[in-house]
Amino acid sequence: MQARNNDKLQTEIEALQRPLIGRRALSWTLFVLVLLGCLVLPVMASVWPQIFQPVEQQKTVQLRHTPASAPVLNEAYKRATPTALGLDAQWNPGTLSSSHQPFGLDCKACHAKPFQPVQDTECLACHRGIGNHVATKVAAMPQLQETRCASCHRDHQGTDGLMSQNHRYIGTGCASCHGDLSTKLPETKVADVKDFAKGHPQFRVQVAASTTTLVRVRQGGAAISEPTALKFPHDLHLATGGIAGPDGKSKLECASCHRPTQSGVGFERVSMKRDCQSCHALAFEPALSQRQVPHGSTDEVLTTLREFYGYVNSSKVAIDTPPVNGPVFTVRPGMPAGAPASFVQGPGDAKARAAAAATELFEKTSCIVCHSVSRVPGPGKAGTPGADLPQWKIAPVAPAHPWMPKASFDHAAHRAAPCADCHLASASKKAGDVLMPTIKECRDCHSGSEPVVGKVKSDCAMCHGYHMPELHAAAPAVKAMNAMQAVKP
Amino acid sequence: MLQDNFMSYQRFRYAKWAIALLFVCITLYILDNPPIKPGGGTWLGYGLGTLGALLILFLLLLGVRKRAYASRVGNLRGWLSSHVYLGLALAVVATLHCGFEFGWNIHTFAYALTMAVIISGIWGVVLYLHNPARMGDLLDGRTLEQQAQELRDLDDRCRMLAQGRPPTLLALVEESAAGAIFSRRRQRLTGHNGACATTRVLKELREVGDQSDPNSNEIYTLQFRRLQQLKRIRNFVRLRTLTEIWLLFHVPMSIALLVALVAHIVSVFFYW
Repeated sequence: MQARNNDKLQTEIEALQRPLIGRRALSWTLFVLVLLGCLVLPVMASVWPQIFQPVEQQKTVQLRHTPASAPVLNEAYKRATPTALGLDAQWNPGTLSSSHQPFGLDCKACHAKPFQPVQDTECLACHRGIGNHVATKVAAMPQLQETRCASCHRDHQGTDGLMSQNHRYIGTGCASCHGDLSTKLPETKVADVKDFAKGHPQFRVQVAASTTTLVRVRQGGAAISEPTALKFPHDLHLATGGIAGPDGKSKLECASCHRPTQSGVGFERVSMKRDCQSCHALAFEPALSQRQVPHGSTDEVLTTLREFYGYVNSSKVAIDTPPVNGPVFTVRPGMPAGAPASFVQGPGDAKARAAAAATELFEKTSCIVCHSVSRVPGPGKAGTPGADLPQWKIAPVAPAHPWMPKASFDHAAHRAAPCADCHLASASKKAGDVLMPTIKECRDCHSGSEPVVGKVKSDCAMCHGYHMPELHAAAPAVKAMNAMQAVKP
Repeated sequence: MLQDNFMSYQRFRYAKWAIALLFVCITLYILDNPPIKPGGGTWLGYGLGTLGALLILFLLLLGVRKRAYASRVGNLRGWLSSHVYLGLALAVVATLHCGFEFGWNIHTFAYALTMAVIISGIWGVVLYLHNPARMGDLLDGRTLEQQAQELRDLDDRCRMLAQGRPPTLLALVEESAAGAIFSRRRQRLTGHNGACATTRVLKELREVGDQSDPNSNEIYTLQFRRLQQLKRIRNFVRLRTLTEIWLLFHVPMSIALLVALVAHIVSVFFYW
């Protein structure tokens, strides 16, 4: 009895002295669970997807490695084949940028090879033709070509686009080359620049030297003008007292002719029909104020005149209704006044009347007002009714083109400022005046990379881009000109 | 507490080291202006991560060192002191390493395990500062075996005193002797046994005991001493159980942390 009791106590004391069981077992359990769940399974799903995925998905994975044989998969975003069960999703260190999220479950879309940093080829699979900073044909800059996309563009930093994050690379990074570019690349025309406030050269403004050549001229010397055959005095049109129009004096503003594009970044081209013709009517017959020639080709103008007077002549219609709004023609100040009352009853036949009307139109009342007009020997364009009339040539107008192609400027973002803060149009007497602001106007509001009270802190990327894809394509100036000529005036 | 213990070891030598380390890390973090969001991916992030991983390895080495009884690499008190202070510093280093960026991923999982182990470590510090002294007081310099032997001696004396007395008295003595220290395992956590046989027997003795009988009175006194003894043993076991439960948490979590750390590092460079 006694021995048994003692045994019981002995057993309990021994049991109490034994360490709590489970520390080792629990350690091993956690060891195995975490190892499997966080390391082994994700690695297996990434390296041997066939263990987890059905056969058809494996085929998709294989096709990804030979995209040429799978046209459907050629578009890079369709390459995305999520890792089985999203096993490696737990490795995602942070939210992808929203544009990369469509293939966010396919880590290998970017991280193609294990233990290898993301290669440029993976980026360029989608971002084709993004272009280097300096085109190889401009200058060999090996240190730039060696830079990986991921040196600047780091994802997993939130849903914002990668570009907005990269503003932080701009500034000292740019100045490290551009601060001393004249010694690094002696043949360049790009001036040294350190900071917008302290070390930025005068702007170079692009002007059309001829209808086919664009050149960039640096501001700061003589006033820059663009040789153009157009006559357009901004000061006259923006006169504070207004300008004579069909309904009396009307006050014009910049926006009367310069209409913002839908995006607001730039402006639509000024159009004769929309912006000028309400005042500068192309009427030709004093007795018929509403009839106008089309703006554009001289052949079409002459043909219209030839056909009009031929028709009037043959049909004997009475058209000499008096004009409603007073005289049809208003002659530009300084031009000889006294237009004929009508060409319908003029001397000679229909051809002679058309020729008289054309001479009046081209040389006195209409074309000459804005254009350089010169008489050229005939005949005109074969097969057109106007070919037998006297011929004129309108000097080509300078093409529309970007004024500062190396910088981006958003007019919408500057909407609060009056146009005249930057563009001194009301003092411009000639159409050739280039009304682009200088760096001084920009610096009124923009500081450099150092913050200044009352100014906008502005790093290089505020205006400038880094990648220059167009340099790798055809020469941009020629392309721009071709595009211009394709557009009808 | 004022004597040299593992916290004040060598005039807080490791506390000073840890503070110096934190000063350097925090200063670097404040001065650093990385081109991307602060986090593990910046140069400072890589540096702090390496430092954190080395700290974790060093902290885990305590588990090896304390089992290496023959080791001459420092003394165990110094190891424990540096373990505590560098472990506390790790909380800051790890937080700076992640740049206060958290998510549902392996990286934050490893961070959470780190913090869990550190917080449990703080609990451990409290336990180890107070419990050893209290446990020593409870056992009064004797082992549990010796305590058990005293219980047996008390029981034997009671049995002898019960000779020639009514059989109920012996039955009560035997009932008390057969009672368990703990009747349920979970009582080890509270240190209380609601079904304690000796408590019950003392109550019975008050009712059936013959107060004029000196033996009966002696039995009562011995049973009372038996109960005191039992309570000391129970309290001792409770304190040791709490310490062991702490280890049951701290050690396996550290092991899980080690694996999560490896997974964290491998995953970062697997998908570099």
